[in-house]
Amino acid sequence: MKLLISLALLSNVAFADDLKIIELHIKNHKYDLEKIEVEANKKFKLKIYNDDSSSEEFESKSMVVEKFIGPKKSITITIGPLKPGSYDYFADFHPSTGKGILIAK
Amino acid sequence: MINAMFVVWRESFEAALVVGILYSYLKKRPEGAAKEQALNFMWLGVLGGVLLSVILALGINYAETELQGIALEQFQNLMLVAACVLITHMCLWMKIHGRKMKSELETGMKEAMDSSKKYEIAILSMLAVAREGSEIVVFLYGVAFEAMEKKMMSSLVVYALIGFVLSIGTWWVFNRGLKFFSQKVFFNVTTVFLLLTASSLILNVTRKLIQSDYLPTIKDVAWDTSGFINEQTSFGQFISGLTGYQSTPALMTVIVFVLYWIMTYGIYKFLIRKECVAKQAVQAA
Repeated sequence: MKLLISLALLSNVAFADDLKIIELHIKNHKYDLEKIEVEANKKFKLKIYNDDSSSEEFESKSMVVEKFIGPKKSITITIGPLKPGSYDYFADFHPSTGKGILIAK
Repeated sequence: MINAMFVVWRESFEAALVVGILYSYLKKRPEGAAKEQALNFMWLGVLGGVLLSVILALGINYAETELQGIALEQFQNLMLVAACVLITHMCLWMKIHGRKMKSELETGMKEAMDSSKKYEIAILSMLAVAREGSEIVVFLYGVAFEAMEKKMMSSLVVYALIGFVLSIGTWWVFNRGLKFFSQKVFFNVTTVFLLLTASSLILNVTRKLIQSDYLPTIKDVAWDTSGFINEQTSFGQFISGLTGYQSTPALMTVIVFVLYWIMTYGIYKFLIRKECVAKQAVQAA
């Protein structure tokens, strides 16, 4: 079991670097990218910067992500692989202004 | 947040069950100073149990304000795992001890009344209340964190209160021994529900750890059952929220899920066997 896990960890590290990183900023409780396109069936990383001085939470029901971001902080999450389709995301603490759609093709 | 209602419902019901057994036992005792004293100890224990739960809540709250960023997230993950362990433990414990809980409690009470150690009654009721109370606290923590940030604390409190009122209602029906209310069905249904909740908690932690690259997926998509139940639909989201269902789980998630159920079942079998051995030893003696 240990061997299996360490092997898996190694293999994960091996291709973790190949993942595409998409940068996303939050400013004035809005996402700078309100439409993102990614390749379907392929994992990718989202690096989200919170440029506001209040905390925020990146959330997506369809991608099942919920991640807290402190003021002036950034976080990275690994997402997918997603099937072709559109996925909404929003800013949980300011849902009226912070929202966007991610399209997997 | 409806989960909060269910958890508060069953947990307070169990606390009420234990306190109810103690209370009705004491009520049947002959009048006198000893009975008065014993009842006082019982209520003291209830108060102590509530107090212990509140202290735990304050402690968690303090830890929360002290922690930030990644440390806070790991703390929350830890609390989710703790809630999973506590709920699983409670279900297994009830499954094994539930049937003879009443006689065990009454034996404990009798011993306390016969000896001069009446304060043991306070310990009995305190442990019952504190155990269920701490489970409520640990489980509600995750929900409360979210609710506070969204300034939705009042609706959470309402759900928790509904759960509490329901538990009192259930307890009343339970004591009346009404025909339509089957104790066995109630416990079996809620046990299944709570074990599913517990496994969904551990699956949530697994997903969060995978998203933060702390855990490998091993294989990104173990299988795809989105044709069967799709989380994009509202029905799928309901099922997913209740059970932790994922249509395209990572192999790691599947392994965690299987390990959880094997371990829970294994511990259950082990406890049953231990129980049988203990019973035989008593019979032999």
